[in-house]
Amino acid sequence: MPDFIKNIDQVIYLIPLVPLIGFAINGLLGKKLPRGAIYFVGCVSIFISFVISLMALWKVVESGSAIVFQSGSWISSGNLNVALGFKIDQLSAVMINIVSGIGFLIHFYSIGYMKEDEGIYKFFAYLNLFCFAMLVLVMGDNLLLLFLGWEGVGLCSYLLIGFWYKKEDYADAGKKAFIVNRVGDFGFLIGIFLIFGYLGTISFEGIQGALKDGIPVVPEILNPIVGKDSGLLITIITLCLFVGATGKSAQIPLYTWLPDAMAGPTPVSALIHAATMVTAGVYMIGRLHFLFSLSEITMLVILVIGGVTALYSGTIGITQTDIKKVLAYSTVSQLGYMFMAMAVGAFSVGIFHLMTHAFFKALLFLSSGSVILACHHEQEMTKMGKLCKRLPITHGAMLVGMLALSGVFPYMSGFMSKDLILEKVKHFHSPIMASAGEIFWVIGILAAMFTAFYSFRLMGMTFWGKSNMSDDDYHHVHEPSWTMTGVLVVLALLSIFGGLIGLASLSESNLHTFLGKVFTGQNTVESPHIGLPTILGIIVSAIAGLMYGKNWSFPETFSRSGIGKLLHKLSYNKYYADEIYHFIFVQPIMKGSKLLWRWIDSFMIEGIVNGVARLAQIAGYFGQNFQTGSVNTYAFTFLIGVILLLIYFVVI
Amino acid sequence: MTFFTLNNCIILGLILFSIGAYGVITRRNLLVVLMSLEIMFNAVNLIFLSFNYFLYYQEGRELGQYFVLLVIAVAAAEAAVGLAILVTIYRNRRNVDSDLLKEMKG
Amino acid sequence: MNYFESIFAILPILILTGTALIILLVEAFIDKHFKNLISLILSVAGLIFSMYYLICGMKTNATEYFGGSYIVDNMGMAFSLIISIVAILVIFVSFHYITKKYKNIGEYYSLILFASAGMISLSLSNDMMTFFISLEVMSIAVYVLAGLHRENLRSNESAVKYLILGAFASAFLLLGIAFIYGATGEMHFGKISKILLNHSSEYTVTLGSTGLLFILIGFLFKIGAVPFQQWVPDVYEGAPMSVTAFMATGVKTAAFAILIRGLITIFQVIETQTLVNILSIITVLTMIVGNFMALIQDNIKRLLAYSGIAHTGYILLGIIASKVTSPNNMDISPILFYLLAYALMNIGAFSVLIGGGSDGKDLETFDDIRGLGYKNRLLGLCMVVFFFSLAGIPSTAGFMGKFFIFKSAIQSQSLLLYGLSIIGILTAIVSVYYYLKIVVYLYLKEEKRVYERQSVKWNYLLINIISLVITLLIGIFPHIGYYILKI
Repeated sequence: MPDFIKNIDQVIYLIPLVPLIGFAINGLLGKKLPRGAIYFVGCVSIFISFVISLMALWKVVESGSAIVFQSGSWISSGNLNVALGFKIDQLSAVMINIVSGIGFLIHFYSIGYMKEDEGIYKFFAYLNLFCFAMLVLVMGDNLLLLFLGWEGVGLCSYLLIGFWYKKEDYADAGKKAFIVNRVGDFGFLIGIFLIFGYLGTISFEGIQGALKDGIPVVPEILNPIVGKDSGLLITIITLCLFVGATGKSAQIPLYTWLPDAMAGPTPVSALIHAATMVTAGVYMIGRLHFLFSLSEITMLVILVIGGVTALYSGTIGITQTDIKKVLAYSTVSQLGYMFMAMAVGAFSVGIFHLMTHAFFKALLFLSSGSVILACHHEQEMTKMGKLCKRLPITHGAMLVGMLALSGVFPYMSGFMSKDLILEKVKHFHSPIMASAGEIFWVIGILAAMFTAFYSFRLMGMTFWGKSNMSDDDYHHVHEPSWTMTGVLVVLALLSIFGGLIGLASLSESNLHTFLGKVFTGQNTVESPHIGLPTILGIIVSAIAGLMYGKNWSFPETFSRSGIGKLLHKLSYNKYYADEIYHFIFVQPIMKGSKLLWRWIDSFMIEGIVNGVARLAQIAGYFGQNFQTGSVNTYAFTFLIGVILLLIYFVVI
Repeated sequence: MTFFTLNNCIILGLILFSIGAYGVITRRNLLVVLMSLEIMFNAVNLIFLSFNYFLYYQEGRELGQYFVLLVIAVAAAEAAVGLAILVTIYRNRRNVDSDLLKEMKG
Repeated sequence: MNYFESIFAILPILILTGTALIILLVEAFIDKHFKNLISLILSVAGLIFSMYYLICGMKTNATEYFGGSYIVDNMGMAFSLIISIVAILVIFVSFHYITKKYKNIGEYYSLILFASAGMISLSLSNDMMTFFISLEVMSIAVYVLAGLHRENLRSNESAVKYLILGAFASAFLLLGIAFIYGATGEMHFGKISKILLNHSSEYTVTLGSTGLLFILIGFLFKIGAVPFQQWVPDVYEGAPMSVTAFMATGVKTAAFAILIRGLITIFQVIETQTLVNILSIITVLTMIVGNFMALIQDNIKRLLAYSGIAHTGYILLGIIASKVTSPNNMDISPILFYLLAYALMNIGAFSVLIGGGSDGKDLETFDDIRGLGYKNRLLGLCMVVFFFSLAGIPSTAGFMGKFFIFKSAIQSQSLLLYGLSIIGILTAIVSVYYYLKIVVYLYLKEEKRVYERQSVKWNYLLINIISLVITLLIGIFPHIGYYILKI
């Protein structure tokens, strides 16, 4: 190991810091800088942190132990003492390389994609800020830092979705993402508070240490909530944390923001809404695996939510016609797979799928970005078709991505991780529900078939099939600049070969044994093999490809027939989830506040006062000029308050 | 003079206080509202004085009396400010009715 | 106690009063072009001078002066420091603002100083007389300030409503003091609680605790807690913007100071459980009403008034938490931190609303702030940070404030407080909606409209940058905030 690798410990704080500096430069001076300089600052800052991340990974691989960076006490109040510390263990090492590596590629891609936009400095500044927050999230050695990163990525997501402020629904989508995430954060925060109340620490090491020698007794503080049942407490804690994960990782019921978030620029979708931020929930479970594996109930809940989400969003994906929406639902579905893997205790497999997914989903989004750019910001697939002639490189890249995503091509990245997940799920035995493993194995296979279907439907509609563009437009479609296609090629190579590091039969030291140092107690992971899921996938994708590539009329007729129409309508409208949410959550809050206002205004002030006034008139006691005027009514409510308090005081 | 007892004085004070509070709540003319506030302050003064007189004066403790002087001064200051504000309102709209001063609500 | 030592202890108050009088005198003799600048310099000098003596007079042990009328302790000093900071910031914010609207500039500055003197005196007072006089000095000065804009009907309305309701509340407060006097014959807080705790006569205890309840109501009125909050939105909306900023921060801080002073002295007489129950009901109502009412506002000043009510609720939550944790020795550092953070972000937000206005008109409605982020980048950025901070988004002071409050609530080992915290967090989530609405409006463009750059006067920029820097600084490194307040 060379010296500069040995001494990498001392500079790992640079990994998040350099993007932050990039953010500061672009954010503060960007207005004055020429475009070239903005690109340079944006890309180079994240590239530097990628290089340092690689060196850190090298060191972790060589030494087999974690790199720790501690500063002094950061917040200390009462018995809470939080140090500002970073820790790069095997899991973090993998994560920082994914974040900074994919992050760099997407920064580079953005140069071409955003070249016609104004305010490009803001875009790059936000991207850098996002990378900073995400790196803090995966490097932090305690829950508070993780939470800060967690909030930070949410904020950047909001800023970047709303990057095109001019259109109001973009700003709305950003707001929605932000608010839905706050709901999840609420659960997450409660989870953190409970952990602190229970174990008295929020650093990961501390939590693991506290749990090492058996489960601690519930402290007195928490007795009113759970009594003395520490198992129940752990279940509550992990469920609360998982609520946070569903928010950030777009699982049922908090997934609705992700498809709307597609309103943002495509590189943002690729980076934030596919490769990195949305996987934060998976990472968090991996990070706290020792806590989650203590609660069988939580694990089962995660399995159910993950499995149902995977299938549910797959069924929505097959009817969407917006190219990015298809990919968005596909992301939700793949995240469901990752949660399934975590739920059955195959943590390294989950992280493996996180990684391969980052490769191929970034590839898919960026390819779709180049399609969208070529079609002048058209996202409707019904208005495309036969683009393979005009966009050969993009077509190739997209095809690679789709093969990986649907997992039908043996030993391509997606195939390996997905097959491992299904295998692990099949052999899972939940003590609560004996057949959970088999049931969710079937659900997983079904979801995989839906995946294969919408993947090749997208290929068929966009690249194969007949062109739905005017001839003039069609001939103006051309490949984007080399900066963009170059990125596509790199990602395509990663999607093809990236899975090999998780192949157990290839080498003893694969990803799973590497991560196994963090995920102690995990079962060994074998190599994937071609079985039923693969064969079914191949059949489905062939059908879909043919159906949409050759323009069979079957889908059309099916969606017009009775039951088909109903199903299509349900799926196309996303099971009316947005409407239902609006009806259940948004409206009551708005209505409630209006009602409260009306209640206070009319009932309290007008109602009571008028009522009393009328009573007074009837009694003929208070005199005639009892009228309501605002100052008087305020004094009256004041008096009512005094009287109520007095009554309470006397009665109690 | 059995009528002149602590309890009776306190009750008189409380009745005056209630009359004042009633005035604040019911009268629309803000000038009258200010007068009602004065009644409330003076009712409190009465209560102070009766406590002082019946309970503590014999022991030589006279804090209540001093406090009353203080309250009178404060009430005077408040009345002065209140009247000044009413004068400006009257200049602006030729009226000091609280029904017309409901521009801000909700 | 040495007489001179006593004088020295209240020197900050005397300096402020003296400066206010000097400003009134000086105003009569100088050219009108320099009036504003000289008044500003004099009042800031007076405030800094008094802050210097505040810090000098800091004692580790609580010491009583003037026979117990004043008490100088860490808590009172920290509150006084927050009040002085608020006053300085508000005076800078007012600098260009008042010349547009008033002729008698000296009055304005001296009234602010009188009010600040009252507030500091309030937070150091330790007996019923000092406390009542200080409260009235503060309130009367603020009544006048609220109505300073004489030609404006809304300013008139605001002042008269504040005055009438304030006096109404004072009357109840006085009634309470009278009852306590009747029960004990004392004015000094310590002596009162000693007598009430030792005397087992039922008559004394009933009279005394009824009196205490009335006093509590007077305090709750000043901090704007439900159901005594109705004056807040109207008064805040009508008053001149800089005065609104002063009321929302300074008056509230002072009122909390005396509330806490009461809780650690006289209110100990009331059974802790009863007190906590009453406060809890009020806290829940305050958090809910404040946040939900703010949702439906379209005037930002009014929205901030309701949001102020909501923040009152969170601070009350902190107070309950520390009362429950240790009834006799309350740890109020989270509350002080929250008040400091709240003061900074609120004055910052008001400063943007004043500074961003053009042609002598303040920004008041959502339409007014539409596109402000394009007209002046810095103002937009500051506003975003202040509203994020008000909403409690991490890395801002507002987040740390809420964090400490909820943390102390959770550490208190009480089921009641868990419930309160959950309601608190839920209502805080509701609040994100309306704060974010403002942020979105800042960057919402009207179709095809080109936004001209708009310059901003130096004093608003200064206050914005100071508030912004401190908000972020203590949001990221909270111990700096603790250091500022010496707690």
